[in-house]
Amino acid sequence: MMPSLLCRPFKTLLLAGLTIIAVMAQATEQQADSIKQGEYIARLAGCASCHTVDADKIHAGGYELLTPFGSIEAPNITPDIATGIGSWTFDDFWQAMHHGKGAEGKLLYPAFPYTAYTKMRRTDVQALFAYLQSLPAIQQENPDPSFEFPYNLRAALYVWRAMYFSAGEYQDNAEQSEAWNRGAYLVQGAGHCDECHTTRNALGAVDQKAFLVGGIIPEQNWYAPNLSMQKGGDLEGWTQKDIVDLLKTGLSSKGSALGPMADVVRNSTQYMTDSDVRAVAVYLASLPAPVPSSKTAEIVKATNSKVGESIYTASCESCHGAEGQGVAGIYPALVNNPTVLEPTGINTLRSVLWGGFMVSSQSNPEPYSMPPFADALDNTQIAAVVNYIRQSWGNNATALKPEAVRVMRHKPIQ
Amino acid sequence: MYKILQSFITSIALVLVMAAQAEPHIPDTMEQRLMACAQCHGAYGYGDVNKPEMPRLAEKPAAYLYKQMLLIKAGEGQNATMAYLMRQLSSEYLKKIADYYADQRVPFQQHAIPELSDAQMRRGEQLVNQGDPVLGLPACKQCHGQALTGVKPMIPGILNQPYDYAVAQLNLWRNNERSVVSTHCMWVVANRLLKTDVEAVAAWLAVQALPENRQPVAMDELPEAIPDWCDLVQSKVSL
Repeated sequence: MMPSLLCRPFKTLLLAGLTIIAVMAQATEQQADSIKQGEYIARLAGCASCHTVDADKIHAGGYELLTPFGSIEAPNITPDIATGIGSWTFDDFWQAMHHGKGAEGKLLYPAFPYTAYTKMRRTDVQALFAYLQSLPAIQQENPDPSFEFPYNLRAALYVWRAMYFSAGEYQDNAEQSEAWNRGAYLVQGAGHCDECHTTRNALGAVDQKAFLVGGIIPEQNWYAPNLSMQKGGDLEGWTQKDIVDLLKTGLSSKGSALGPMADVVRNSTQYMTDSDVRAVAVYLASLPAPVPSSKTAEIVKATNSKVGESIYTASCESCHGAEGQGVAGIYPALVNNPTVLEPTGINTLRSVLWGGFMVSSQSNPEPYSMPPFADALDNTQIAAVVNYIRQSWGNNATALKPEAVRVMRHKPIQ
Repeated sequence: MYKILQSFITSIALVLVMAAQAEPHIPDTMEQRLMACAQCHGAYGYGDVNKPEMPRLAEKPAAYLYKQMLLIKAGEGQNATMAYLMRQLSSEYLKKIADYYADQRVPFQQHAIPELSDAQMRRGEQLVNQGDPVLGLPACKQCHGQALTGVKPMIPGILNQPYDYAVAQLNLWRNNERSVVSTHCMWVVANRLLKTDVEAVAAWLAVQALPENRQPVAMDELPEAIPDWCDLVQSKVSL
């Protein structure tokens, strides 16, 4: 009798104990899954592009974003209590991501792209929060933004928000496929592609009527092409595979990622799953061509194409080919390349001035490079070779003057 | 049979011609990958006598090159062109690039120097080999190695560097403007040099022949320890 009397509570206790352990293990496992999922969301959202300067201090902030209104440094988002977001609850985090409001309801400057992040689903934001809270806490102070009057008045943001911001998660479009909806969710939400690929108005707001139609990125002086793959779009002639290749490696058969887009590939899109990156391509393929097309502007013909041709033959041809065809997976083709043909010409101009490496990505860890020609060629020569590239082999984009080269020589490059 | 063979050969030739037109042949080498670097630092990082303001990279200690790249990439070198060029590169790749340049065997280059008197050239040699106790200057040799080919991991070789580059670096140290710095004792040393000494040292070093073995040596191969006030970490030493 006695042993069994003793035994029963013991068994129950043991069973309860084991259940608790099992539940706890499951909870830890779920937490680990959530953190892993959150890390992926952080990649999709490109957090590191602004919040990580030093690879050893992940998300400790410090990257200075230049805007036409002044500059702002991305803050520390590690779980440090004093300088990071260690004291934040999930609700605080949701307020920032979904409503663009920081601690104590302080309105956030839209340099933090909450106008896009507001579309992210609550479950994704939860996972992202779990991930950020799992990072090592790093103490690093956040400097105040150096905005000029009147942009330094946060109160002005009430007006800005009333005009340009409405909070709301992405709503599926029932008429579209699952892949399309996933692509739209990624592009409009976490990916915040419109921050560069949509023209901004004088108050720095992206024009939602002109979604993803491209334009010059203010202060950074790169032209972000419009993302339409239809006739008249900057990505006309691109296949979905080209989109996938560019996002995964920074290089497709039609063009390559430069400047800020190279940052995006390095920090974000190269890590996207195959199905997510395909979903983005499906969505982009559905974007209508912009009206009017950026290609319909008047084309000025270059006058010194012989000079341009001889520079091209001497300095460019050995890598980009006699017909501007490039080398697959190594050097971009120049024929029909949207970076070459974009209306302002500044992307090609800056590439000739400063050269550059392709992105070191998982699939292309040791990329090839292009030499800078800023010291080797003068303004007239650079304009001549840029114009030759923009007006050869079927390329037809307007010619630049040497003055444009002079201006770009003095713009800082990032 | 002859006709078949003929058309076969023609089609092969046609394919070859098309292939030749289709894509340039790109060698799968580091040298080809690093054409952006070669533009200023010369092929194989040998330097370029026509660009005397640019340092060579070849045969400098790999760890030194790697650290310089990391600092410049982080914006501390105040060299926007290089920071932009390296921005998209992983640390692993930068390390491989440093190893690649460290492994190149640098050839002697005929660098232009200004016309200096024999006395000034002798002064240069004296500073390099003996230093100047009156000015509190150790010999260059004491830290940069008996053969002046550098010391692993962080002290670069200084023999046969372009005159302009050497003068520029010493002057940056004198003004405390050289931001890519691994040690402050060069700041101290450069400030103890007279202006004419800077020219003398840079000129004498620029025209010296290279020894057979140009690789940087190990720290324990130095016959004399580096001066005790010269800590290799970043602490400022008073003049």
